[in-house]
Amino acid sequence: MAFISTGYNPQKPMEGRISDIGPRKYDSFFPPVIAKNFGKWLYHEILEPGVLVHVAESGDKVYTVRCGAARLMSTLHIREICEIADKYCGGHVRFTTRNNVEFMVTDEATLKALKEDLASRKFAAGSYKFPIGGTGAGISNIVHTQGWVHCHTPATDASGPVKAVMDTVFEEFQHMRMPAPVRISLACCLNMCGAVHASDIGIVGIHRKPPMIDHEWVDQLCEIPLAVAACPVAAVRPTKEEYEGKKINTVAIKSERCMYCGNCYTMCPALPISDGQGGDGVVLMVGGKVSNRISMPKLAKVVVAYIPNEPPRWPTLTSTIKHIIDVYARNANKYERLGEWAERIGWEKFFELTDLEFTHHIIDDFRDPAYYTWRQSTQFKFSEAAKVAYQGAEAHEAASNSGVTEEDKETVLNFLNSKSGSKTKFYFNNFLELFPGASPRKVKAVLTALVEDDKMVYWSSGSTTMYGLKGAGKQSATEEGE
Amino acid sequence: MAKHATPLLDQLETGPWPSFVSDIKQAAAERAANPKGLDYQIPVDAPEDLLGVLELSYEEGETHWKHGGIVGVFGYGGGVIGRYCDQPEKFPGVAHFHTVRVNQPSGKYYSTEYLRHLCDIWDLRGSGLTNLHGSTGDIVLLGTQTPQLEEIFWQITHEMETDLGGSGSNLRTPAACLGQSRCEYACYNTQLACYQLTQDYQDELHRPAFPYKFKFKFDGCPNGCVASIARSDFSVIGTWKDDIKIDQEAVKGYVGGEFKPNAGAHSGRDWGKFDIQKEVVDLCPGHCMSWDGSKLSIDNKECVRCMHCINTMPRALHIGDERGATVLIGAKAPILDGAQLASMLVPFVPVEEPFDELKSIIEKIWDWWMEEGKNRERVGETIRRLSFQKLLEVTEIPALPQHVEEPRTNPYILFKEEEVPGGWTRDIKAYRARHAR
Repeated sequence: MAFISTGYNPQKPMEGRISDIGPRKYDSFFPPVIAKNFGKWLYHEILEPGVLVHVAESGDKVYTVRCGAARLMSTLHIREICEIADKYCGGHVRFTTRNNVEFMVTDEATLKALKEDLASRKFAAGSYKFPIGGTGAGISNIVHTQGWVHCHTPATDASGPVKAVMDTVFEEFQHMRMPAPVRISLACCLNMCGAVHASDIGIVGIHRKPPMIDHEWVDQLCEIPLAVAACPVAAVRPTKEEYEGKKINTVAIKSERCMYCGNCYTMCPALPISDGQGGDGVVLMVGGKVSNRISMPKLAKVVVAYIPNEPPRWPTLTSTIKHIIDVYARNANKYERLGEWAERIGWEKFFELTDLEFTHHIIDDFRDPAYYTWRQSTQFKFSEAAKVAYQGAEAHEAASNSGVTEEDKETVLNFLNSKSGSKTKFYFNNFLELFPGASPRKVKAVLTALVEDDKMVYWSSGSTTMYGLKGAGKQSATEEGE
Repeated sequence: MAKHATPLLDQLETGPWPSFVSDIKQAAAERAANPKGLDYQIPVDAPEDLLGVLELSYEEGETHWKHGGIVGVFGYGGGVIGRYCDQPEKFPGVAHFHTVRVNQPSGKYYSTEYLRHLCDIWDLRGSGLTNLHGSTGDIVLLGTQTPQLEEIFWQITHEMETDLGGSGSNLRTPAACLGQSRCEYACYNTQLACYQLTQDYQDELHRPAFPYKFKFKFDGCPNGCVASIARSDFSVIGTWKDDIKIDQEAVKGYVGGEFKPNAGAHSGRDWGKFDIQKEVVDLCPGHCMSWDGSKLSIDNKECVRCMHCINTMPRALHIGDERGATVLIGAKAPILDGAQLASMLVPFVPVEEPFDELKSIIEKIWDWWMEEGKNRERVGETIRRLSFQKLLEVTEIPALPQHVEEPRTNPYILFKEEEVPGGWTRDIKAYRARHAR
């Protein structure tokens, strides 16, 4: 290979340099019908799945054929798109936010020929190159991320699961028989390069193991304060360790606090987090939307806490999604997005109808917003699991059987006397430590007996009550002096 | 004969959906055959080695890509993401495999001439693999080596009048829906707003000085096709202040079955005859519509502009004429403090050249966030940490009931000292004169 220079001179990088010019202006790429009728469109109609017509005030029409595409695309494929666009569309083409390709024409004869041509093109192994669809109340293309193809933090692949899911729901890409549009998105980690958190169905790669610490390299590869500051839950702290006979600077990680977000790994490559041995996989979220139509936009909710990575075709993931979509399509009203349907019937009904297992993982426990997702009401619908009456009456008998002995009282009094020089008021739970393993109600019985014996008193601020030895403490003197 | 056996990836060639594996394979074969006789500037087998390393990930369930680095083009802090394979001996073709983000034209219309030019550059100087497009909107060129970066930059700027996009802690490549170019719902020129602000903030886009990424996105109407409310720090969503325009004859056309409701979006299933009362009037979140059998009425002052009636009867109902946008702030994905949708800040702003109103809001937010934001903290998190009131203060916007879904339920109000007569300095001796200890 001989290096081909364009004229750039590394010795004089600013010579002839063009910078800060931004993108080309969009209107230089408009097909004539778009340029002519800009801002003057009157209405549109979806003629059939994947085919739209937009009608302008001028009476002009533009027909659009929308095709699915893998967003990971070769120049060879792009050149094929160009060839089609040259043949039918005057050399113009556009792409959508959801990775679809749109070919626009202005007459029905060309439309027909274009559709036939697009539908006939297949890759060598048989998949469509340009499947027509992705409009209206159907399933459009999946917005997704890089995955194992090109990213350093993924917990799953992106292009592979997307291909597997789109194969599974392919019929719905080419139909419009859902109650409303179903938007599926995939992010291969919690960074979510895409609007996964507000999609009807969101597939999110998650790690499930705290990062490993490559102690030998932490201080060489990372700036430790950055790694520490990167942790949103303060699970990472700087520390010194003995490593192969040497004192080294490294970090320690409180595993029980870690939520496996991988943010520390982003700042410090010596904290690898990915795990192909049972750790990584995906979460399934449903019911998000970004549109303001009828109801306000909503975040998606976790309905399956973990699905293992099953390359190459992720069968559990695809069958679960298919199942959710089928149940939604059978039960939702016309216009009702997946999240709107779940809210109308209640999430308990969603779990009943979909038969998805509701596990403890699905209850929010992340910071204050968690509380607002719990149920502060007696209003709920019964399901089989909720109908099962509470069982456990025998626990009452077992825990409340508590006699108080003189020895118990001595223990408390000895404790109070030993502290009287420095501290005279104690919360109830200070006494629990004196009776390891005993039920708190047993300890309370001991304290109650001491109050009845006139050895201990309650002290109350009016809102909080503490216990102390009778006559001890600073305030005791002022009160009794009156 | 393929360089690496890929029995797992091969299973992704079956099924109807376009197979990226088939595409990479055809690209690899084309590259090997080299019909144009190109003097490839990076290894010819890059696509094959990409399949090889991906197959390894499919076997192991783990990625084989290492962190970014300091690669880039001179003077820019973004636009290129360094990418290195952690198995370089096995896959030398992708040992160095950097990403180049190229700023897409707003609305993603292209001429074939432009796309082919890009392909020519990328076939010569890169892997020939792309993403059309990345999630933020860029044209993503997937895989090249460091010596090619300046050459690619030279070519796209000199030959294509195109610049790199954003990455890292800078303004990320702004994106817009296709707007007025082909949509009757667009309340402003989303493409122009996106283009102009991208141009005017080139410095912020290329030279990172923010605590973390900052994204603008422009949706033409509340349908939100570019998802700005979910994924942009600064979300501009078209809206209008006056009345929805009604063509009563066209309404009758829908009621009578002449026009397909919802622009035909539900035509794949028999939902029964269109029922304007049930499907439009009763679903209106503003409860502001009525149908008397021949006339549709809208009490526009109660309308919340959800788009449902317009979406359902696009020939009969049209957006109003006093158009502009609502600005919402602070959407983000879960990292770090959980996912957030954007919160409404400015109910109505004109969106017309030169967009000075939008820029004023943006710059006030930047001035505040660049000073107060913690590293890797999106502005939505800064607002949560320092309060929505603080955002109102720095943007000099008065508090409105529209800013909240409901008033606060706790009385932990942080009064400003000047709001309280006498301030916070008090005389303890005077107090004790009134109250014994």
